[in-house]
Amino acid sequence: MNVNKFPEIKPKGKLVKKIYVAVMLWIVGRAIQAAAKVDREVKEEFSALRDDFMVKLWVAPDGPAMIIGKDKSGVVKYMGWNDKGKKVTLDMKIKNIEGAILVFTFQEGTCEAFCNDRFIVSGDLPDALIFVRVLNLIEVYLLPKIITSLAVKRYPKWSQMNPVRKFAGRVLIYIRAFTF
Amino acid sequence: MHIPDYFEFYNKTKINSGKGALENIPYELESMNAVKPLVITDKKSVKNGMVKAFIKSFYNSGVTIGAVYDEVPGYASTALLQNLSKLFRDRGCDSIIAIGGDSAASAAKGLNILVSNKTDSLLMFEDMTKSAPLKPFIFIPSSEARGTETSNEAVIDSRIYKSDDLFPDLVLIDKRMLKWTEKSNTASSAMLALTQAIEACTFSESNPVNDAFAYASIELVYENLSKALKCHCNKKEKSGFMNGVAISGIVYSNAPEGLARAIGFEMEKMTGHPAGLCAGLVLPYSLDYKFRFEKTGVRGELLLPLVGIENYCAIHESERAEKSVELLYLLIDNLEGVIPGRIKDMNIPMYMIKKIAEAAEKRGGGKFGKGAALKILEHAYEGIPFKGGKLK
Repeated sequence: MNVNKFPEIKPKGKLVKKIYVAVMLWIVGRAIQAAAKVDREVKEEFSALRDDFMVKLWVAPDGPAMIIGKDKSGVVKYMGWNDKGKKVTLDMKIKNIEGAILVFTFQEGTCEAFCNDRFIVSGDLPDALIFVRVLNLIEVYLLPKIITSLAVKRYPKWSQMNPVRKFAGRVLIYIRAFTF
Repeated sequence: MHIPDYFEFYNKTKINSGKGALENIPYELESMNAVKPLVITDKKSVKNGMVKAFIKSFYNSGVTIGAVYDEVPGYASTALLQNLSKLFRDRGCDSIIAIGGDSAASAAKGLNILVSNKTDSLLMFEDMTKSAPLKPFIFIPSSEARGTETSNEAVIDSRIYKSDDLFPDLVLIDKRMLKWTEKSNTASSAMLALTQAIEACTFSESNPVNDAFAYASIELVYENLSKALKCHCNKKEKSGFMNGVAISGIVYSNAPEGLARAIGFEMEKMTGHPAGLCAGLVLPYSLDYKFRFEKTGVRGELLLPLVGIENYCAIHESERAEKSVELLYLLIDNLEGVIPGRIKDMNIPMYMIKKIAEAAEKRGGGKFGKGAALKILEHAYEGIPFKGGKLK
């Protein structure tokens, strides 16, 4: 048998999808940093976390990634994508880029993605749940209701988040995320 | 639920089914310490675009595919295994992925024995206790799969190799791999899956865990069959159907082979008709025979996955077993036009029926009872149920 008839296959990359996910991770990371200053609920969620909390949300096998953590003074910060020299306490890995696309194009909610085993989490489970709740809140702030309803388990009612808080928060988060 | 004094259930197969299942292969390979798989498939899968979709799912994964061998014929042979083994070693592969149906899966299982034991002969591995631990093996069913692929059996050159080590480590069911196939193929797969799952529940020594798997398999196949046959566009139903087919292989591996399945495979050997079709046509007659003459084995609970909880409760306990058999007769009637309604319509001469019955009884090692196979086959041949007990 001529083995050369069956060549080795080196699969290509998915550059466009990787860029899209990288941009989304950057926006979400910056928005979390802003929301931790603007929104009381996000602030409370983060205060329940340990002082050296640092989460890395990334896509296997080689990124893109987003790192968020508390600095020495306890302020929540977006710390870029490179974990070199950083002590990550919660590692959240999305198994593949297609899974990340499903989550970041809101075809699949964060909770649904967890149920479908698209994430691998290493670290404390309560910390991961807190971070998922924060992600849900960020989605509510960043996106219109019609899209967010697809991504979150339950869209907050008026009693949970009134329109004034929502729209004021949205404006402030966008300004802070894209300026400083 | 009846709990027997002793039972065993073994299954090492992980099932990964649904949206984006294919993209999980690199991750699953990594978790099994494998980085370079050899892919075994047939020309039909290449033509259908399945192999293309499969390769695409590896994009951005960093995993290199050792080779895609796409020349698997309709059966697995020693010569084929020699070729595959050469390719596997030449490329330095460390895992096997089979795409398609029974022949690709059997070839992959045979190859796994050869390469894991660094040998060129399968003869000493009829008893797998002598085998080294096998390499990771992933199976991706196409629409041609019939439920034998996920079992612990491999058929190579008509010789059966059976061991729990031969279960696939992972079965991936993705709608992109369930391309169009002839309706008769789907019906035949359904028949074999139902035969395997139903016959596993008809032994007097029940196995509660296997029963649970069998019920899931029967329900998935029976519920989704009509929609899977109706239109190729019913992807969700096709996926559900294939889950049922895959589970039936696991169920079969944890129970002794039933008479209908044995007849089906012996008939396939002698006539060339698909085993699923043959076994399916015999199944209701086999159950009917058990119900009327042996008065054992056909459990009323069989009706539950066939009709659902509401209708199950509406039927009196004493009538449930008979109703189940009736429903299986009805299923064959409903499939008329897709498959022949009786064995006679398959142009099998009557003299072969006797030979098939003898071979099936021999295959069962005398556990089926003398004359039972012939009696069942005679009724299935003419399409006459056992009501009254005699052939008209």
